[in-house]
Amino acid sequence: MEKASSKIVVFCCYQSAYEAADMAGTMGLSLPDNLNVVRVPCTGKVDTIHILRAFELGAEGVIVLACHDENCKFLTGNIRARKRVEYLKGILEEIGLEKERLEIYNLAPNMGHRFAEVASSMAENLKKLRSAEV
Amino acid sequence: MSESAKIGVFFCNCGKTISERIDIKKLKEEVQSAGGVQCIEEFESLCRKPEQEKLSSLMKKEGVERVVIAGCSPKLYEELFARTLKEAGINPEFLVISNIREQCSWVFPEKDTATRKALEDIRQKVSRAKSLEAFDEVDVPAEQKVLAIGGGIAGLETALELSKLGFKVTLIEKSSALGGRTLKLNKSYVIEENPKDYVQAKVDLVNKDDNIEILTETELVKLNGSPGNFTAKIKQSGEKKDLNVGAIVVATGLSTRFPRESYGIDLSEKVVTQLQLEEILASPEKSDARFKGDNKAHVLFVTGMIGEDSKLSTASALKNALLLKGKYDCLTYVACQEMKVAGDRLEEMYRKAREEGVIFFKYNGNPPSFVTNGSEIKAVVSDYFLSAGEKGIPQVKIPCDLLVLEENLVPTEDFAALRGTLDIKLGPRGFFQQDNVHQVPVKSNKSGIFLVGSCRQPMDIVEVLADAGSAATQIVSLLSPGKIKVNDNRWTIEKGKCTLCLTCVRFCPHGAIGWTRAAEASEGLCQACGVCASECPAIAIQVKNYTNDQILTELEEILNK
Repeated sequence: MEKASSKIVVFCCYQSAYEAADMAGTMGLSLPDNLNVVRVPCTGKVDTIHILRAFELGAEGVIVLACHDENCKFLTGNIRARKRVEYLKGILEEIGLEKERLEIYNLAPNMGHRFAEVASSMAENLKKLRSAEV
Repeated sequence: MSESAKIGVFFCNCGKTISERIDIKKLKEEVQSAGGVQCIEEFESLCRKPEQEKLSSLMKKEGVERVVIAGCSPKLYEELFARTLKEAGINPEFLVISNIREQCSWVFPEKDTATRKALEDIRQKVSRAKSLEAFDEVDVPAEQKVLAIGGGIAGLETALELSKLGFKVTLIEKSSALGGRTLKLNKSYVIEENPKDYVQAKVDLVNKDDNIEILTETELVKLNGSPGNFTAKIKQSGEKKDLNVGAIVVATGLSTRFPRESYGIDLSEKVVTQLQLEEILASPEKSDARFKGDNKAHVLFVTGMIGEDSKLSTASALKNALLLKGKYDCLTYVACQEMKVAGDRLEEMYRKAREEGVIFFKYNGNPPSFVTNGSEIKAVVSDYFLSAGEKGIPQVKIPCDLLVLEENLVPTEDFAALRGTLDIKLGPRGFFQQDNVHQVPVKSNKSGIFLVGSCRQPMDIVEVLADAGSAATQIVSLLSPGKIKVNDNRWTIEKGKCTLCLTCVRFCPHGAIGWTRAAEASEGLCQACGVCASECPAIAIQVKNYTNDQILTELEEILNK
């Protein structure tokens, strides 16, 4: 239980963020070791149920990584994803979870640095939340 | 869902790149002891041909049904491994790649951590492999015929290119003659020939071509079907008929609008748009009457007052300023925000214009104003770079014998209707183009419909020709050799759950969903992004291999159930 509760689930758009994660590896950047990537064809496929279920199963944080605006291979997937994430942030607050536990960022395939940056910043934020709880 | 399927996990050492940073031996033991995996094997470099043959024969011998390959990123060799699976008689949909190189061994410097993360990832992928479902690619026949809409240079050139490649083309034009707006131009800055002759030559070629059928005064009224099998209803002078085509090329060009509100002055004998000037210059009598004489005419070109200067208006101002200077020795001025010279020959023309004595004003935020007195027009122009400190920016009054104003380049009038008929989306600037790195520029959001020339963004002749060639190439790769591969039953709907709210129809980015008694998608148009499935309020829609259950299975595995 302890182990599961410290995990960060990252939904990676296969068109951009998944490649950015690869790029982070190629660049030799290090990532938080509680990060787990779920590959999706487009962040438009990340449903509200997937994110909520991840929290329900004990994920500490969820990041959705989409393509930049106007750059979605499927045109509007990233816009839909952002709307869903914003809607879910409200729901998280309602059920007593901090909305910082869920974030969405826009990445291009060549943004390995940014991938590492958002991953570590989520890990840092979660650490802060954890210590605040204690 | 298949719990009983035989699963194989194959490790690639990647020539020690992976094995020196991850304990493969330990991984193998862990995967073995976790159970549920029937075949585990380690390879040196799976991307090499001999190793793949070894893998293929091993899979056949062991009767493996689902495959997890733990190695480098799927971005590199997923397609290669999919082929290997196919050769071994396994549906390539049953392949999952566990990315233990880029996303494990390279991002976690400690061997223990990297090994733990690799194990987590492999477990996640094994559970995914178990949940995968098969679907097949089927061939559907594709009509070797194309409908081109618009008889301008873009439509003509695309038709010619396609005809060369052996396709039949029906070219429809709403007016009574071919040629389009290029016929109005006096001179082009990108081609040497007279634009009129240039287009006329293309029209003659098209007329002679047996593969091209020309229908003038014809419009598209309805479109059904999917790539390879569109049914287009066209209307020619009141008579409707159906055409079966494999692809559609939209080449409707653009039109111009004079934005009076930006200038505060009406068009008149002395105030013309850039296109009107082309028409004057195209006729020697008219232009001689206007510009020939002992008194040198003052001509002022203004660009950038309707927003940003565009490349085309900059080019037009430079071209005609040089022409008037050279032919009639006019006194020519250009007032602009910025010179947009990012194009072939433009920098050269700009330099030449300055050398020949064309005077440039960069007003930068202080646009010119126009004072009319009877038939006289004076323009008050300032130049940012002549500003004199506290004294402000000096203003120059230019008496204009001719004022040439830039017009708005806008989509054609019937653009909105056509867009509705085709059910395709607009780009951010109101034209068809999506400024999107993931998309081939001539492709629209709907597979099988291509956009060529100025209907997707204002462009010059050379760019239009390049577009036409690229669209023709795309069409050949889509329709040849007479069939299109389409996924069979990848998109599924539980009809009982569908309440026909049509949310999916509205949200589908590719116009792929229609409905009868429940929503249904055309597999030819569907690109499996999954937006509809995520938006469906009844959770009736699923896209195979990214279904809710499959994603949730992965999540459960990650979070240890």
